[in-house]
Parts: sequence; structure tokens; C-alpha cells
Amino acid sequence: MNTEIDDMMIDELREGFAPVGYERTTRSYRSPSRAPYIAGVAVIAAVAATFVVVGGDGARSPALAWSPNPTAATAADGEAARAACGTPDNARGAVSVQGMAAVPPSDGSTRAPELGSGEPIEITVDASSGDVVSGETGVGKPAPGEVLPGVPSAEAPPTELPPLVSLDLRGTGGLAVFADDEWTFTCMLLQSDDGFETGPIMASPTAELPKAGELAVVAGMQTTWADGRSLAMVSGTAPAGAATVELSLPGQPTASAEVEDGRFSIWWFGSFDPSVGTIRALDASGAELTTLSPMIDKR
Amino acid sequence: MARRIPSEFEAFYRDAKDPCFRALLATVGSAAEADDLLAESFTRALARWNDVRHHPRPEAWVVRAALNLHRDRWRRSQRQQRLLERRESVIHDDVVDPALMAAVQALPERQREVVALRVLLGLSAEQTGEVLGVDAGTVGTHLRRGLASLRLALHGPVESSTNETTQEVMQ
Repeated sequence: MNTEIDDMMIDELREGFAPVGYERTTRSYRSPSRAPYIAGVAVIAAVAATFVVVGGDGARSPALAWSPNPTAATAADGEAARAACGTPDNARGAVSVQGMAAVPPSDGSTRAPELGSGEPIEITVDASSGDVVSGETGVGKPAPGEVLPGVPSAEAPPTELPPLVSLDLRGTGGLAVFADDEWTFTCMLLQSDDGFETGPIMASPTAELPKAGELAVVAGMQTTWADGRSLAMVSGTAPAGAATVELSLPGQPTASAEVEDGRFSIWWFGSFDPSVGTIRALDASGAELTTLSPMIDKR
Repeated sequence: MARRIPSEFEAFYRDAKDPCFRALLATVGSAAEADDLLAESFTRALARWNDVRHHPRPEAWVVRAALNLHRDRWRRSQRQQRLLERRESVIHDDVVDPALMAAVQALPERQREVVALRVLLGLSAEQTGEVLGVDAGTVGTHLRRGLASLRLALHGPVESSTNETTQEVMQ
């Protein structure tokens, strides 16, 4: 096949695709409806993930502001957040993974059924290796030979958002968490003239996330908005009795967040680095219950 | 509970992300789908980095994982029409010459995969065969036919004196 004419075609192909790069493409790409959803974290217990989102055209970029303390979210804020996060076409930019820290599932594991396909499926995953060991007959069953060892089958998040369980509003930004027993969505927001614009929306099976009752980071993201500023966020679970959490980062004012239903979330200007930062869980009197430092501990 | 991202993985990610993305874009025809698949497959590669790092071509592992995901989605999905519409929109994107992208997308799936893996990801015929579950000879056949089809679509028929590849395709 090594004819000169084939070589010319090969060169033409390589040159044609050379301008394409992971970030370079997404930078000029306006994501369609499903692009902001990240289901990859769904498959392998996502304890913490770092994502980079490249902003859109910036035509409606609001002035950005931040405050160390959250403002109380109203029911209208919640509805606006749901409307924005539930309409991924409004999302700005596309998501690309920068990196992720993850652990295999901690218990034996029947995975959550796929939602939205009309026919539930179950995939059983080996607890220690993360390998798919069986799939229920039906739609979505991994075909023999098509699943790599250790690569569980993908699961799609639902198209409808679960109930809103927390909404952190501070300055002009927000972080909304929607969750039920099956899926947890974490959605970054920025206020705009029209309500909210959304950034990345991360979807994870709830069963694979840390449960409320311990201080743990569920997810971390980093985003670059259209004006070039970096925004970061962290969401997590808090121990019983915790009323607030405080996040201390080098060079940043200590940020506080309310604990709602055992969960918390905070956003700030800057980057997400799981190896730095301290999170303290406090009870209603301000007494410290426990501390997580760095944000993601190493095991 | 979690662990830091190994620097070795970071270096691998930095070097492999673009070639992997090109190969996936050529295969699935949609920047959004390629982006989504690549995010998932890199995530999985990181989760199993201790195994993947010993693979002779870890990027082949990543792309194979992504292609498995892609096939699985298509099989279970009720959204094929949406994906087709998305593909159509990407063809008109200015990232890749629309004519080139359209020609690649017009290839049969297996030829498209072989062209992506051999030409854009730079895998050998054997490595490509391993990813796709076919032997190296079959890879060569698909590549020849794919290149011939691309050339025909982009440049029209060639003169008979230089038409060795086209003759093979016709056999």
C-alpha cells in the first residue's frame, strides 16, 4: 500500500486534521445538548474530578464578583438554576478532562440502571478491580470482545434533573447540586442578564459518591469563562451535626458554606488543586468537628 | 481516599490527547461526541493507570476504550438521529476542511476506524488490528480501500498509470 499516491493521501489526511486538538477544537466549538454532561465519572467511583471548561464567545459575559460568604438562595434562584442547568444548550463551551483522582467502587456493585433509554440495565462490577463481570441481557449489555478488561460499560445520565439539594450563591456565581438516590448533578452557574448561564454539568451515580456523614470532597472542577478568568469549585459531604464548612486556600480569604442535607459546595476564582487547601466542618456553635487537609487525602 | 494524578499520566495525557482526539473525531465525526468519549476514556485510563501504563501503546488503550463506549452508546441509544444531526453540524465546522471530513465520514465504519488509527494515531497494522479485533492483513486491506475511496472523493479518478491502489480496491 506504500504507493506514492497513498502516501500523498496520508499526508493530506494528517495535514487536514493537524489543526484539530483536544482544547483547540473545543475552544471554537459550541457544545450541543449533551456535551456538558460528563458521565465518565459515573463509571468509576468519582471521588474527585478536575475539569477544564473552555468558555464560549463571551458575548454575554457578566462582570464577575465573589464573596467569601454565600447569600441566601431563594426559591426563585432555585428555579432559575434548574432552568439553566436543565437546558444544556445554554451551557457555555465544552468540557475536557484535565485529570481525575478516582478509586474503584468500595462495595460489590450493581451499577445504577441507565435512565432515559426506556429499558433499565444493570452492570455488575468487580469491587476490587472495577472490571465488568456481567451485564444483564438487553439493551446496553457489553458485547463479548467489545469491552476491555477493566472498562465498564458507559451509563448515560438522565435527561431530567433530580431535585435541587443545594445552591451556593456568592457574588455573581453559583454552584447547584441536584441529586436523588440514583444520580447527582453538579452544575456551575454565573449570573447573567437572563438569569444564569451554566458551565460544566457533572453527572455521577449517587451510590458511588461519598455518603453524607463524613467530610469528603465529591467533586472539584475548574473552568475558564469567556473573559479568561478561572473559576473553581468543590462540593462534598459533611459529617452529622455540621452546620457550615470553611475552605481555606493559599492566598484566598477563607470561604464558608452552609451545609444542606449533609452536603456543601463552594466556588471561587482560581484553580482547583486537590493537593492543597483545608476544609473544616463546624457545628452550629462554630466548634470544629473535623478537618480535611489537603482537600483530597491520599490513600 | 483518592490519590494524586501521577505525573507520568499527566505527561501521557499531554502528549496523547490531541492524536487521540483526531482519531476519534475522524471516527465518530462529531467533536462533541469525540470530546465526551475522550473524557471518559482518559478518566478510565487514569483509574487503571497502573495497568494501562504497561500497555505498549497506552493511547491505543484509550482510543479502544472510547470506541467501545461509542459502540455501546449507539447500540443502546435511541438518539441515533440526534447524533447524525450532530455529525452533520460538525461537518460544517471550520476545524477540519468540510470536504475532507465529509469524505472521511462517508467511509464504511471499519475503513474509517482503520484510517483513524493507522494514519492519525500512528498505530502499526498489528496494533490497529489488536484495537479493532481483526488481523493485520485485514487492517491493510481496509486502509488501502479507505485511502482509495478518500482519494476518489477528494480528487476524482486518477490516471490508469498510477492507479495501482484503485485496481486493488476493485478486486
